[in-house]
Amino acid sequence: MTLAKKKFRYICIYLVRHQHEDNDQTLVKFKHNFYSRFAEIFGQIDFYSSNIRFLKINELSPEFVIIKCKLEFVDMLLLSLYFTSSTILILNVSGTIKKMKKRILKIPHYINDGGLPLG
Amino acid sequence: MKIIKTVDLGTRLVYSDRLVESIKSLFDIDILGFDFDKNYDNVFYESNIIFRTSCTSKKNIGNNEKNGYFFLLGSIFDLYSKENVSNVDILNIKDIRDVKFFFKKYGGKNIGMEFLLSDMRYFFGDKIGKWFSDMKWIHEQCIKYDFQFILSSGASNYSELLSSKVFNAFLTKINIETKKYWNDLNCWLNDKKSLYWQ
Repeated sequence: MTLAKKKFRYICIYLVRHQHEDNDQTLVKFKHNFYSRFAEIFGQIDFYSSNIRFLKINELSPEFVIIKCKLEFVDMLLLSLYFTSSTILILNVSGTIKKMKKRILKIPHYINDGGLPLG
Repeated sequence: MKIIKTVDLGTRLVYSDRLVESIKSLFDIDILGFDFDKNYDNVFYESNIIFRTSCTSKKNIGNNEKNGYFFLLGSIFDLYSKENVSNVDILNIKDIRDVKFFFKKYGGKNIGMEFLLSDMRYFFGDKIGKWFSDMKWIHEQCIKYDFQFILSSGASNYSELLSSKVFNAFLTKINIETKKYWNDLNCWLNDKKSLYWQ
């Protein structure tokens, strides 16, 4: 018997740091908001089934947060992110970390050049 | 091959060429709607921009109609208002109570019925659930009475902007086929444009 390989997706968000907070504090608050919103809207069963993980990637600036989840829960995750009260931009969805990194490395140019005055 | 464009007709941001470029790059949204301001001139991406104006401020458009800008006439749905909205292109719905009456009265006029996602972003979970259920019903009614169902971000700041992927997640949750939605919206806009330039 062959087991079907589980497919995952990687979602990149840009987390805007609050004044008087460091990146870690902002991330902790965001995680709390996001988890409770997901469970509130879609329920605890889907929340735990989605296998949500936050990934730390050293090459990227700490404002970029990568979230991993099972493919079939991507829509739920995107909606929960939208309904989260933290100030974020939902940027990319990708099937591999490599592709995601490539896309992210192109992004700061648009953000830092004043295209989107964030923060 | 027909190119289907992604559309966010309801942003409340201030237009700039740079903003349009950024939104296209970051969020993959091709066409954007902005509230019209008479100080706008030299709009570079005019083919990707739709300006919105209300019936009452239509006179402020001035010569900009001749500059090649495309305007959609909008209004906000209010059951108790005596305003005749049969000439309106797009109607913003804040409260869906009693909207059934409206479907019957203005059916067949090809009016766009717009819902802003920013209106419900901070709802509690139970209200969000009800919103999705209501949207399913409204979408069915829109098909039945020949209205164009429109979801817009209503973004008044950058964090309220939505990427095409998030729009698609909303549509899928409302049981709307994403390709069909974008295609219908593109056709509706093209119809409005052809009437506008007549």
